[in-house]
Order: sequence, then C-alpha cells, then structure tokens
Amino acid sequence: MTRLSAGAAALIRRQQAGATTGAALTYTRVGGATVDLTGKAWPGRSAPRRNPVPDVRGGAVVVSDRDFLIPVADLATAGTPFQPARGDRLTDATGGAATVYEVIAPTGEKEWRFTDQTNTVYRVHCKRVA
Amino acid sequence: MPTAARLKEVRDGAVAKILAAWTDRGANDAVAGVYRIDLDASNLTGRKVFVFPVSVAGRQVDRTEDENDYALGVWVVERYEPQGDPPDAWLDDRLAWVEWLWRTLGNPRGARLLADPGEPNSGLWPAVAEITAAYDHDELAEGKLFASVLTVIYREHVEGP
Repeated sequence: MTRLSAGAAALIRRQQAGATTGAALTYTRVGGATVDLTGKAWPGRSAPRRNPVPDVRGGAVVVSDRDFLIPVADLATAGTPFQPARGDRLTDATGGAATVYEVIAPTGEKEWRFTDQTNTVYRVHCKRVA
Repeated sequence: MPTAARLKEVRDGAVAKILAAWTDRGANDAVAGVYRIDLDASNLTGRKVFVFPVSVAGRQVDRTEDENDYALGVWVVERYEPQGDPPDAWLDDRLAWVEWLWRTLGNPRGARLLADPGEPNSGLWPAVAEITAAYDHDELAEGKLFASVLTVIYREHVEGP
C-alpha cells in the first residue's frame, strides 16, 4: 500500500466514522438489486436550487440536490462491483422517515466522478424524489 | 383601456374553462391561477396546471370601440414518479394532453370567455394561442419533469371611454 492509498483508506475510515449517521442507507439499482451501505457511505454536498421556468415569469421548480460519497469497494452485489448509473436510488432513513434520492446528473455533468486520485470513492450526484 | 383587474378576471376565467373541460382529472391533478409558484419537485404528484397573468395591451378600433388583449401563460407540469427515466409513451401522452389544452383554450369558435349571456358579442376570444415550449428538456433530464408552457392572448372589444 502506497502512502497515497494508505492516506485515502484512512480518510475513508475517518469519514465513515464521523459522517455516517448509522441510519439505514440502501442503494437500489434500476434492476432492483440492493446494496446495504449503512455505515459505509456518507452524504456530501446538499444544494437546493430554484430553477425559474424560462417562458413563464413567476414559476419555478425547486430541486433538492444531494451528493453521496460511496467507497468503490462497497458498491457491489454478490461480490461483483458496479458503477453508479442514472436511475439508481438511495434510500436514507436518517431521522426515522425514509428519504429517497435518485441518481441524476446535473446539467453538463456525469452522474458520478471519483473524489480522489486513487479512485477509491465515488461522488454520486442525486436528486430527492420522495 | 385594458386593466390589471380585468387581466386577473381573464386568468380566473381561463382556470374555470380548463376545470370545466378537464373532466377526467385524477385525485392529484389540479388547476390554479397564480402570480408566482415555487414547485418542490421532490414531492410533486399528479398533473398541475398553473395559469399566470402576463400582460395587457389595447388600442382603439374605431370611434366607439377599443380592442383589449390579455396575455396568459399556462404552465403544465408533471413528475415521472417511478424509478428511472420516463418512457417515450409517457411523454407522448403528456404532449397529446398539452395539444388538447391548446385546442381547448385556443379555439376561436368556441364559447367566449367571461361572456355576458345577455350580450351576444360580449366576452373574450383567443386571438393567439401557442405552445410556447412543448417540453423543457432540462427539467426532463434533471428532474424527470414534464413541463410545458402555453401562451394564450384573449381579446375583447369594449365600448371606449
């Protein structure tokens, strides 16, 4: 393990210990397969936005964006790793009530990117859908 | 001269016209006349139609009559709730509904808006009706929202001052 990858692993452990809430976090692929990410992934940036309707003054759509940071090693079903894909969902039970997010890319971006040079953590862009 | 108060009446008349024509509304479908609305995309259910007052204009037609125009913006928005992207068939249905709404509001040979039953030439007719944006691509891609905008200009002739 290089010093860089060791540092990344330590950062992941620190983030998991400090930023995860212990509440159930479930990743559901479009096909229905699920991955339990409780205690493994953590929420990142949350950025509510207001998108005015271009052709009607006074109308706007309020969107709740949220990123989730997921260690690459933890995103796997039956031992087979996979990458996040548009339409996948994360169900976050923080606070008791389940909040559902769907993987959707912001305009001009991909659905996810690596957060580090060693490609150990996905930053997945999501929008609240329920 | 056209007035802002009349514009609000026209907006509310258009809302009533939509409600009367849209007989197969679902429990979560709704029509409302508004000045501004911030719609939370995360908990939107059903099809929503919002009618906005946009502008007024007027001119003298002859020595006794004025012609007044009242422009309305109509925003149709609906979220695709299942997981994943909406299929084309779902979008086809919404576009067909928007066309129906355009025909309903934009039919110049239909009953006049806010017509006085005792005055055969009273009321407003659609001088212009357009589907300004059939759908908003960004809202569809970013929020799984079908969002369409129509613009209707209602016209009436009234006795001048």
